[in-house]
Amino acid sequence: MGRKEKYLILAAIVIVALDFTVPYTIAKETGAFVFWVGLTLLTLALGYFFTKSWNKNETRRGL
Amino acid sequence: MSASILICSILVWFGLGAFLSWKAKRKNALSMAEYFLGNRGIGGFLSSMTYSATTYSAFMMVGLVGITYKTGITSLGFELSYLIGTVFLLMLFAPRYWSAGKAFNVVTPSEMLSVRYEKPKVGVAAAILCLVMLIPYASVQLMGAGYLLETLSEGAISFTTATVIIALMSFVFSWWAGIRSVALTDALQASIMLIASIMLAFFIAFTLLPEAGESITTINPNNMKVSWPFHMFLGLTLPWFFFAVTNPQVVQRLYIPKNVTSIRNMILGFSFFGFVYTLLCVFFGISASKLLPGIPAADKAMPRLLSMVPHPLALIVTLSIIAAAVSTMNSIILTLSSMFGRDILKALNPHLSEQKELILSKTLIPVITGICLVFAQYKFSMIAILSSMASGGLLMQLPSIWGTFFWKKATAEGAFWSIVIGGISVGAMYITGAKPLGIWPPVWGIAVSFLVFVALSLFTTPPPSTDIFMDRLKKELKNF
Repeated sequence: MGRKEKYLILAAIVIVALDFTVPYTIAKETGAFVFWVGLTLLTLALGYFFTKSWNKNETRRGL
Repeated sequence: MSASILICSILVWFGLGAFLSWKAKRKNALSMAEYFLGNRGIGGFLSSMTYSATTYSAFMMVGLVGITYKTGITSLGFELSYLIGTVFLLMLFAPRYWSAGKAFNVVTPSEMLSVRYEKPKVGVAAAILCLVMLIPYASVQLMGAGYLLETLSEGAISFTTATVIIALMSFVFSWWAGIRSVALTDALQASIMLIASIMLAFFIAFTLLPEAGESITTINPNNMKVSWPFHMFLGLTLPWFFFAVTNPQVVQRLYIPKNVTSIRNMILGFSFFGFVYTLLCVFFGISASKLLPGIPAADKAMPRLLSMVPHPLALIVTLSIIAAAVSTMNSIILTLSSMFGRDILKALNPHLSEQKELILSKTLIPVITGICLVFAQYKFSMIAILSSMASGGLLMQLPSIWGTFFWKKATAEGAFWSIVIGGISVGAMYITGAKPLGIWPPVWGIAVSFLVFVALSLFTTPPPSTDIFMDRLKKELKNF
């Protein structure tokens, strides 16, 4: 497992911890909707940037 | 809605799907890898569409809308937590499954366990667990679509007729060319799922609820509070969080992309689809709670909502729900058939030729479809229990899957017994309704399964070729 993946796992732990705690504490009465949507968008953006380099080797090899 | 219009529309849809399924047929589909994986040559767009259509079942437009109608916004957290988990798991596991699948010519998710742990019994245990858990789950797809058609046609289409039609569609959409048929028809079905939902959302926003303004949060403020108890949220969310690596019908999709770019496009395409589709389904539930308060059975919220929209739109949305059911069901049946051939028959008879293995696996497609149809007719009360525990039961594979790629000390004994003991524990708790300390069965089950896996692995010997497997995988992962 490379350094990049270790950072990804760290980010996953933080995001999942927030996902389960914030809506059951400070956002229980109001704000859970915005929080969950925002957290998901953050994850999707992370996915976009994390996988951005995946096809570089392929492009270089002309696949 | 008129039954004749409904039947005609379904037949047109059936014809279109059947044509695509037939069109996907290749002349020389003589290998398991061709029939079940499209020779690992499916492009990114089709991979993402089939992944999305397989994942999102009729539950979204019927069950999730109903739960949101009844309990409000917590269902959004449940469904988006699944999406968050899936995106992270795909980033970590998709390159590993894809690379190892290619390097060791693996066809099914359970076969990966047999290869890594060098004992076919691990794959057999995982395959049996999947068969036990997923046949009832597939039957529920039939039942859901059957009830929907019966309700919308006001009884003109009976439940039995509806389930036979859906089962036939599932069979035809997968039979001719296996995954190539499923991928093409799934692309069509995923498209209608998304397009129909967007059209319905526009109609609701501009015609039925114009006073809601620009935000979903203002439609029904009472439904914006987190209402599920935390144990319930955790118990329901945990199994779905790991769905991407524990449900074989989606794991098998990780073998099919043709290259690294296609894997990336599959993940990004699915992420977009999942996010939009989830928000739309939750929007429908919140809207129904404002427009139609007091429906006693929450699952009727979507059919009742459809009675408020013009017939052509209701028809398209109905077709999209049927598409969601069919695309999930035929993927499950296709994957289970491949697992039966590769992980059970081949394990019992290692000298079985690939051609015979393929014929026997293909024979299983109509057989499993028939079993699901029979299950759906009898409406066994056990089906509901087995279906609800499907994701929890499949979660018991997680320790052995994690060990496959990340723990060199993992052993076959640890993997085998973690699946068996974990599966039995969860099954027993679901059947007896036990929730010790108020904690849901999957949470207990995964704790037991991990404990057994780690303890047995520490006291037994890892497979002799562990280093070869890990080194090969490391080499392949350099492409990412």
